[in-house]
Amino acid sequence: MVFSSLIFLFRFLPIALLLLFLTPKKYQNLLLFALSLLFYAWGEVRYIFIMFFSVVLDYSTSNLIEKNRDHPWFPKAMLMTSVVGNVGMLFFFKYMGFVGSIFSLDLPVLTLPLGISFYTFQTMSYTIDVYRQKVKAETNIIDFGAFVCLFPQLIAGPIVKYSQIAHELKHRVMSLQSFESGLKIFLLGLSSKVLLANNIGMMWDDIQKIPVSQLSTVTAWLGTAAFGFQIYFDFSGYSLMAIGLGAMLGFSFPQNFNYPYISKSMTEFWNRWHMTLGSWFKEYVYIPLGGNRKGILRQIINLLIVWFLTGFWHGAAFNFILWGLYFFGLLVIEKIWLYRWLNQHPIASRMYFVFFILIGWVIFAISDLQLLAQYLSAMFSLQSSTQWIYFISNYGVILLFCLIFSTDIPKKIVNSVTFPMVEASMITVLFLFCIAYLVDSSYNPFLYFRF
Amino acid sequence: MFRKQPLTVIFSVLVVLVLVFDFLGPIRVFSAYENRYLTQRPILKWEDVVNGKWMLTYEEFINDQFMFRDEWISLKSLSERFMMKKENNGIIFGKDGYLFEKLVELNVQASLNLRYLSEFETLVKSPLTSMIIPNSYAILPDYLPLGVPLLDQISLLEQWGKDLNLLRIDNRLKNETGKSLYYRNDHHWTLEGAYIAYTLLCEQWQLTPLPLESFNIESVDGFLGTYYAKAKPSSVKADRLSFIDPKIHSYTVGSKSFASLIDRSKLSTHDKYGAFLHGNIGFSSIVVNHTESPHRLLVIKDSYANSLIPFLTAHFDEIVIVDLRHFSGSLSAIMNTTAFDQILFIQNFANFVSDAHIAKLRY
Repeated sequence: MVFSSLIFLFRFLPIALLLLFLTPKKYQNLLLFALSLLFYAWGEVRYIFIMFFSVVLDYSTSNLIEKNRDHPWFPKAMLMTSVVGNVGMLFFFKYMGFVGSIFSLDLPVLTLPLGISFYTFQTMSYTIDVYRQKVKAETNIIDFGAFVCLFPQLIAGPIVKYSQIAHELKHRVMSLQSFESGLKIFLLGLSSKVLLANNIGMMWDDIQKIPVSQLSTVTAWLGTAAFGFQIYFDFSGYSLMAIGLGAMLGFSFPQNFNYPYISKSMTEFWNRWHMTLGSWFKEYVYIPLGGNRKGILRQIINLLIVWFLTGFWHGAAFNFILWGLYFFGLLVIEKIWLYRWLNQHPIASRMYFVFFILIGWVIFAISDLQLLAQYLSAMFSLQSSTQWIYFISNYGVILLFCLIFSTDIPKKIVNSVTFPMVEASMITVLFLFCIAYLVDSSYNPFLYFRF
Repeated sequence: MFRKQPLTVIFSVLVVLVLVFDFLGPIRVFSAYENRYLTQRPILKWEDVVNGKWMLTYEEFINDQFMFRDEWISLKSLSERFMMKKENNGIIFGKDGYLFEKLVELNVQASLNLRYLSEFETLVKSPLTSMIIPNSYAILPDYLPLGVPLLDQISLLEQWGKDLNLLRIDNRLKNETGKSLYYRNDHHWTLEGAYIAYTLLCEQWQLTPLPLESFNIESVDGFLGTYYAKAKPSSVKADRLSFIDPKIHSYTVGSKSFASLIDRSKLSTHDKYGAFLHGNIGFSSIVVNHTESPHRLLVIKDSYANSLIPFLTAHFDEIVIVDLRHFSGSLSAIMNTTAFDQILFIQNFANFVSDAHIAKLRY
C-alpha cells in the first residue's frame, strides 16, 4: 500500500488509528506489528515471509550476541550472520539479476520486495549497534517486529535506527497535540507528493517519450529539471508523510530532507538530501573503514567505496553506480579546493550546483547507457525547435510552484503567520485538492521500486 | 478542541463522512459524467488475494465509488485550469473548442499489430483493403497548441505503407478543408469524414459512389463524447452528430434482429455515437437484399467504421461485421464458410497501435 492513495487515507489509516486508540498499551505493539504486516502484504502477499525472516534473523542474532558477550568469537560470528543474512537477502532479490546479466548467467530477475533496501539497512544497523554495545538487544520479539515492520517508514524511509526509537517503542504517548502536529506534517507531505511531484512528473514523462534524436536542447534541460523536482517532492514528501504518521502514533523519526536545492555545493547537498541514508553510510561504512583518520589517500579510497555503494544502493544498474561515482568525483574536487571557493561566491556556486545536479539527475533517471549518452549530448547539441513552448505553457505554473517550494521561503511566510486557523484552513484546502487529484488520478507512480 | 487541534477535527470529520457514505451510499454502475462503467465491489477470492488482483480491483472500486466522485473530478479540472494546463487526463485543449488525444509514443503492441496485419494480408483469399484512419490531431494540426510533441501519424503511415498494402486516406482528409471531419469532443470522425472514406473505397472497388446529398441525413445536437468525458474543459462547443438510416432488410446481432442500423434510443443519451450499428458488437451481419448470389463484404473494424458502414449498404447485399475487441469466434472460420467479394480491415490509428485484440486476426 502507498500513502498517497484513497485506500490508505480513507480505509487503512482511520481503521488503524481507531484500533490503536482503543487497544490497551500492553497490546499496542502487537497490533502495530499486525497492522504493518497487513500494510505490507497489501502490495505483495508472498513477500511477507521476508519480513518474518528479517525479524527472526536479527532478533535471534542480537540476543545471542547479548547473552554471549564474553565469548571470544561467538558474538562476532553472530554479527557476521546478521550482516551476511541481510546483505544476502538484498543481493538475492535486488542484485542477482543484474550480476547475472553482467556475466551472462541465467539468474532469475525477481520482483523487488517493497522497501527491502530500507528495512535491511535498518535491521542491520540494529544488530551492529547491539554488537557495539550501543543498545541493548530487544528481548520482546513483538516489540522488535513492530520496529522492523513499522508501517509509516517501512517502504521508503527515513532509515530509522533502533536506538532512535527504542524508548518510544516501549513508552510512547499518543497525545492530541502530537497527533495534530503529525497530521499537519503528513498532509504537507501528501500535498508535496500528489500536487507537486505527480504534476511535474508528467512533464518528465512526456519529455522522456520524445525520441532523443528529436529532443531540442531547451526541452532536454527542462526534462531533467522536471525529473529533479519530481524526485525531490516525491521522496521528501514520502519522508514527511512517514514523519507525520510517526508523530501521530507517538514516534519521532529523524528529518530526512532539508531544502537540498538551496545548496551551494555538492557537499552541502548531501548534508541536506536523504540525510538518514548519508549518516547510515557514514556510521556503518565510512567510519569503520577509517574515515579521514588514516591519511588523505585512504580517505579518498574510503569515499570511493561509500559513493560506489550509495549509487548502487539506489538501483541495480550501471547508471546508478555511475551516478554514485559522479558525486564521488565532485565531492573529492570540492574537498580538495573548490568547497571554500564556492562558499565565498553565492551566485557562481549556485550556477555550479544547478548545472551539476541536473546532469546528475539525467544519469540517475536513464538506465540505458546508450540512451543516457544520447540524452546528455542532446543537452549540449544546441538544437532548437518549438517543443519547449508547449512544455513551458503547459507546465510553467507548476514549474514555478516547484521552484518556490524548493526554497524555505514558503515556510518562512507561514511561520510568520501566527493565526493557527489560517494555517489549518490552508492545509485543509491542500488536502481537498489532494483528494481531487487522487480521485481523478491518471498519474500516481511509486518511484522506489528500484531502491 | 477545534481551536487547539483544528486539523484533527477537520480530518476526522471528513474521514468519518467518507466512510459512512462509502458504506451506506449507493454503488453506481455507470457514470454518465465520465461516460464509462465504474468498478464494482470485487468478490473476495483466495487466489485473487494471493496474486494481488483483489487488492488492485478493490482500490479501483474505492476510487470509482468515492463520495461525490463527479465533484472531485470537477475540482481537479478546475485546478488544472488554474495551473493554466493545456491538457487534462491525456486530452489536449486545442483551438476553437477542439479536443485532441495526446498520443506521444508507440508501444510494443504497435509492432506486433503491424506484423499481424501483414500476416493477415498473405492469409486472406478474397481481395483485402486495409485502412488506418488518422486521428483528428494528425489531420487538424493547425488547431493544436504550439510545439506539442505528438506522434507523427502521417509519416508513420507513410513508413508502414512500404510493407503493408494500405489504402491511404490521410491526404484526402487533409485536402477537405472547411468541412468538419472530426468531432470536437469525441475521438471519432463525423459522417462527413466517413463519407470521404466511402468515396475512396468506391474508387478502390470500382463502384460509383452516391453523392452525399442523395442520402437522407438526420442529426442531433448536443453531442459531447469521450474526449469531453476525460478532459472536462471549461468551455465547450457541443458537436452535432449526423447519421443516415438506410433501408435494409435486417441487421442481426446474436439472436436479435433489427430493422434499422441506428439505435435511436441512444441519441438522447450521452453515448450518442453508440446509436451507430447499436454500439460495438463482436459479430453482426446486415442483410440489405435477399438474392441468389449476394454481393458480400466482410468488415473487420473498430468503432470508426460504425458511421461508415451505413453508406456501404448501397453497394452490397450482405455485410458481415467483426469487431475484434468483442469477438470470441474464429475469423478464419468465417472466411472459410462464406465467400466474400471484398474484405475491409479498418481501424483508427490510436486503436491500431495499442489494441491487443488485433492478434485475433490470426485465428
